[in-house]
Amino acid sequence: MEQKQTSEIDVVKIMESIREEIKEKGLENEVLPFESIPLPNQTFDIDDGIGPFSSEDFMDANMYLNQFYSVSVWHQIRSTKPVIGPVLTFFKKVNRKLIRFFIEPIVEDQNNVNINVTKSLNQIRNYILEKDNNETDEEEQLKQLSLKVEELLTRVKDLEDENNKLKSNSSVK
Amino acid sequence: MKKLGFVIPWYSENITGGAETELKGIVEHLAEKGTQLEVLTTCVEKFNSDWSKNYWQEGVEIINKINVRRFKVTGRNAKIFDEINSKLMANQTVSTDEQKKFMKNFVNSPDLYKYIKTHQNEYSLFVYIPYMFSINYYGMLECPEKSVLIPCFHEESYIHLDIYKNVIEKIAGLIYLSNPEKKLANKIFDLSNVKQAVLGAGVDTDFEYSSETFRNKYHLYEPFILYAGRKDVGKNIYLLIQYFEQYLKMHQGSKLKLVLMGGGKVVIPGRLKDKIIDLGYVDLQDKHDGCAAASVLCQPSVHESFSIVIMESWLGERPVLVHENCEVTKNFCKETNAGLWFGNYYEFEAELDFILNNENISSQMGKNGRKYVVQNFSWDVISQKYMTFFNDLINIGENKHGTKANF
Repeated sequence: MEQKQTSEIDVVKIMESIREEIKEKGLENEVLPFESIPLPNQTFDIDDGIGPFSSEDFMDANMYLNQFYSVSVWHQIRSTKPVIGPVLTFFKKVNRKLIRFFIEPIVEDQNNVNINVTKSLNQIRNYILEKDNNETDEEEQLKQLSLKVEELLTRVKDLEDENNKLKSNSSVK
Repeated sequence: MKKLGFVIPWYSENITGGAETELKGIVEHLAEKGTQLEVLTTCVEKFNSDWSKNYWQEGVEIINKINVRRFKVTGRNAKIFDEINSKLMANQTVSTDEQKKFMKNFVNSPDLYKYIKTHQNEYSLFVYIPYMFSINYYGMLECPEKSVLIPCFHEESYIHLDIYKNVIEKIAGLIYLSNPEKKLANKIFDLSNVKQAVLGAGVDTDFEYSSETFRNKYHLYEPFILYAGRKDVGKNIYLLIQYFEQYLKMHQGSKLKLVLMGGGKVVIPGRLKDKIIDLGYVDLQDKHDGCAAASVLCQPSVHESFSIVIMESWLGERPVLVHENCEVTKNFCKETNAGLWFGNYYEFEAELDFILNNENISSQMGKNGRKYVVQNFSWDVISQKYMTFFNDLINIGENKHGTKANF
């Protein structure tokens, strides 16, 4: 895209000087690396599950579940400490290897639970959607029937009127 | 020039969502300038609805003077779709057969496809947004030589599906919202026969704003970081909360606050309840006032095709902080000289300090941003750019296909 813009500020230079400063301070190891950001335990959010059923909330939660049901046993190990950071990382990695035999089956079991919870909720979702569809069909049928009843009532009224007219005509004669 | 047909899976007066509101803005502004156009869509209510439920009545409805032609959707097997979609979300490979099933069980309207096929001579072009939905995929297949796509591409598993190549490489034109989007598209597809342009998206620039009004209304007199948009895990909201908490730990006594605006739910730790203010949905004027009152707007999301909120922050003359891994927002910062990007916590902290401690530079960055948005994305500019692109395409189509395609 054409840059229709002049400015004395150069953000690339600002970024370079900020990064240089961080390097000079020896802050090369990351605090809170992107992969380590924990998600809050959303299931126990106090506001969840209170109040009337919300289809939108249900669908949002269902989409989230379908996206994240599989928990990974592997995550990156890093240390935030300068100098001894690599040593700590090494020992943590060794520890990870040592306890793998114990952790992996637990994660596998949890994933099986998650898969079944997700499947069950998908079934409930499909059931709700089917019900919604059926209700719409039934509403449509009811509407059609009401229209037919209305038509028949009008027809009956017309016939009654016609009949009354014929009766009064014959009595006059 | 005949009329233009804009195709989108759902459309209504109060439609939400990035691509949806963008299309609504485009059609309403083009129609205002006298362009003959129509919206072709389905009877589905919105993105979060059941994609096999016909909520709206089939037929033509007029919304804000625009002809909206609705077609019924057919039933779908949500179970098959979900299974394949879960694989895609987990970045797993899906077979060609699965890709076909994915499309077949997405949101579909054979009536709409038939209409495009049989009425194509009444339209100069069909404009589709965004790329992913099967409605647009099958629609483009009916008449690729008259199809223009506003794809809203970003790096994700769907863009790598072979099935999209069949159609995207054969259409007439592609309109991108940013330069990195174009770069990504050309890395994945062979677009040597497709006319491409980076036009951006339209932004409302004609409004007034007052930081004072916002501060008085919400009693917010301390400096604050603003997050505006849906509060969603996928938007990286928890990264921002964690970094903000860490910043407060490193700056004991800091009066800095984090203000959140927009829908969705977020869990704010109890210890931060007086530091993070969640305003929920606010009206448009409050949003503009809030952008002007903030020290900086932070957009931590890495999946942005354009990011209207950073444009709104710049219109309020304030700088932005974005995630380094989002090429689109980072590129906008470089093009405007109006924002910085962080690749880790230390950069986030240092950049925040820089913005808070150098008000002259921050203010100039904000001004740069505003100038850039007004010059490139105000509706007058965008409408003109879109019409020039469409006219060029129609001329190319007439020269290439002559009366056969009947542009």
